[in-house]
Amino acid sequence: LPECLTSGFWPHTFDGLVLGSIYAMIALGYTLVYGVLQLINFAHSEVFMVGSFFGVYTLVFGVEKLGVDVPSSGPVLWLVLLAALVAAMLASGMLAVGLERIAYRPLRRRGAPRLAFLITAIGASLFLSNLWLVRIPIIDVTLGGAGPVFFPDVLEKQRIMTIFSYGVSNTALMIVVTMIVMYVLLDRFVTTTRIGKGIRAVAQDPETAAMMGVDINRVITITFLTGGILAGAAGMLYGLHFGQAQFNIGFIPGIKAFTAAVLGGIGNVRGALLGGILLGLIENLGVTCLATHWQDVISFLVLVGVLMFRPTGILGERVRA
Amino acid sequence: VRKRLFAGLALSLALVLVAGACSSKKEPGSNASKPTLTLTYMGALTGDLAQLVIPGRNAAELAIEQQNAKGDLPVVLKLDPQNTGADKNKAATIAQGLKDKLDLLAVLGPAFSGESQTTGAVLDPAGILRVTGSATNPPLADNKWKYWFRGLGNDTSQGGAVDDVILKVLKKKSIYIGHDKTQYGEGLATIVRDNLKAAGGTVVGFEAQDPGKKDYSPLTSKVTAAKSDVFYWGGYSPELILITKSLREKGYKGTIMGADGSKDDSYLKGAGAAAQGAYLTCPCADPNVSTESTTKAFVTAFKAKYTAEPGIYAAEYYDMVGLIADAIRKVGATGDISTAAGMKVYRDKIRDAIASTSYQGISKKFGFQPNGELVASAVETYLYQVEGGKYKTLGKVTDIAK
Repeated sequence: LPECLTSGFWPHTFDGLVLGSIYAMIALGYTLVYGVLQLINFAHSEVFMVGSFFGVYTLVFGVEKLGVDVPSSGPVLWLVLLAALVAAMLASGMLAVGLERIAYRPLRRRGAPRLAFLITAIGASLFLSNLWLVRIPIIDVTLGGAGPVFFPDVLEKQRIMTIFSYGVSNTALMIVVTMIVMYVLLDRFVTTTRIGKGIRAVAQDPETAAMMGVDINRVITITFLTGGILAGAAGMLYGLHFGQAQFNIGFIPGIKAFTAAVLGGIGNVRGALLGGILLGLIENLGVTCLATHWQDVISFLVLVGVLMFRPTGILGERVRA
Repeated sequence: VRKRLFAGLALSLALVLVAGACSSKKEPGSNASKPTLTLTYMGALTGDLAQLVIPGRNAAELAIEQQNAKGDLPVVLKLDPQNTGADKNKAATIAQGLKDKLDLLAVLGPAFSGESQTTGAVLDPAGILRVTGSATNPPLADNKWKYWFRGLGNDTSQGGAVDDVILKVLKKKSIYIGHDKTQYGEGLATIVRDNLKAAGGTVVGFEAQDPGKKDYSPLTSKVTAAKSDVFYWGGYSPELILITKSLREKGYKGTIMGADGSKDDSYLKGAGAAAQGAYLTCPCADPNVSTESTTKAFVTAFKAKYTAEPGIYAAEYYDMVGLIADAIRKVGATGDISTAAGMKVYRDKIRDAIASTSYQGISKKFGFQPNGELVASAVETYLYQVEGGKYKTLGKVTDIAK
């Protein structure tokens, strides 16, 4: 075996798992919405971005107004981090619901063509990322600004374990664990609850579902909310991991997660998970022995390859949890 | 109607006379009747890289204020900040607007190398003078531009100092190099690689990275696994912040090194404790530690005006304004600058005065080669180390690498 592979395999695998978990959490949102509406919600990357900002707002508020130590430890630390995570999830979830109400529902009522939805989604995405970029007149507030907004070091980043000489940081572990917990909860939600059944019914056949008494609007709202909550958690953890939030932080993960959702089979919940993790691993393992700027070339080659032989993605389309 | 017109004329005549009488009463050296000329400061005034550019802008503003207050210039200078957003294409568009601007005397900057290249193609044929206090990419001087001067050492000298630092000061041997594919970053990284190889060091890796990402873990995993003595970054601070944090998190034990493009306040703030011990080079001296009286006066005035220490390139742009003001004094009478042809003659005179200058600024004594580069005696590379969230000056590389 070449030296680069023996020394690099495990580190790149772990990097891939961490990044893949983020992709998976975002991809679930794309896939859920696509499942019920056959719509690619391109503003989803901004839902993610808002999550990372609400994470930073909460932590800054904790440090400046409540006197939380930097770095802090024990129950205070866990409480602050949990508060930041919940705030991010709520904000992103509400934003996703708001987007559906303002940007998509009016179009749905009028039976607008697919293209109108797509353009509206892109418009909403640009609007939101720019809203966090500019100074808003009248109230004279900047939500984010052009440069990165740094997370206060409430959580001291440290290696908490070493696996195959690879230092795993606390935030990296947090990302993977949160992803697993969120996925299990989502899976239970979609397969066992009433509203989950509704989501699956709408995904399979909206008209019949409506005739059987499923409230389509409610199902769609819940779907956006769920996707938003997942993206919010991902955004907060991504920001915490890299220590910053920025108006354009969602762009690259958003595109990658969309790719992951297509790779796994868009509309398919398990496919999104699989696609996310797979894409993260491919991106990182692919450059173990190559220069790192081949990263995107390799991952998109894999995507093209998969779509050539399996146009519906690895696990196929549609919500079938 | 006619009566009213006459009354109006008489009134305005009277006003002119009064105004004339007033101005003639003023001290010699009053600025009231002098033509106003602009100095356009071009750079990324917002965004990730603004911390590299704003100190220079502020210093230029301060210098212009001070030069005007002296009252002995035949013109009044005015600062016109232009935000390029570090986008070289946007800079070229701004340059298109500048080239026919009649009251434009010179451009301070552009701040970065990429935008210096794109704007040069527009402004040099138009005979617009550019004096940069921060763009360090060496091939800029190969453009045979007549109206371009670089007020600090280029990356050939800065990159040439890096192997001295690694081999002689740190006494390390192997290096892993990353760069951001920009004209500045890739250029510098290539110079460092070639010099280090020639000087007997080992280059373990040389990798290009897309700027603007958050995740550089493939690179940092490789660097950590390769166990090189030094990681060197050719590029700007936003990426080095993320790389520094990621390297330390993964347990990289080696030395982290960067250059002037990373030596701004945001690197200290963003990388925090992870930046501790990192080395940075810069073809710029830190005015805050100077013992010269003129430099101290500058630092005091800067702090009073902006309630912050002068950051990177502040002294350089303060000097760029001083250099131009010195040329204006040498040229003396402006001649008729109300027409494009007259302004061109005046700009050419200023350009010639700078080309043959021996101006003593606060950062160095200026003197230029025919290609716009500083004379060798004016070029120095300084070494800094991050200590407790601040840049500590270790001195000139030529002194400490003996």
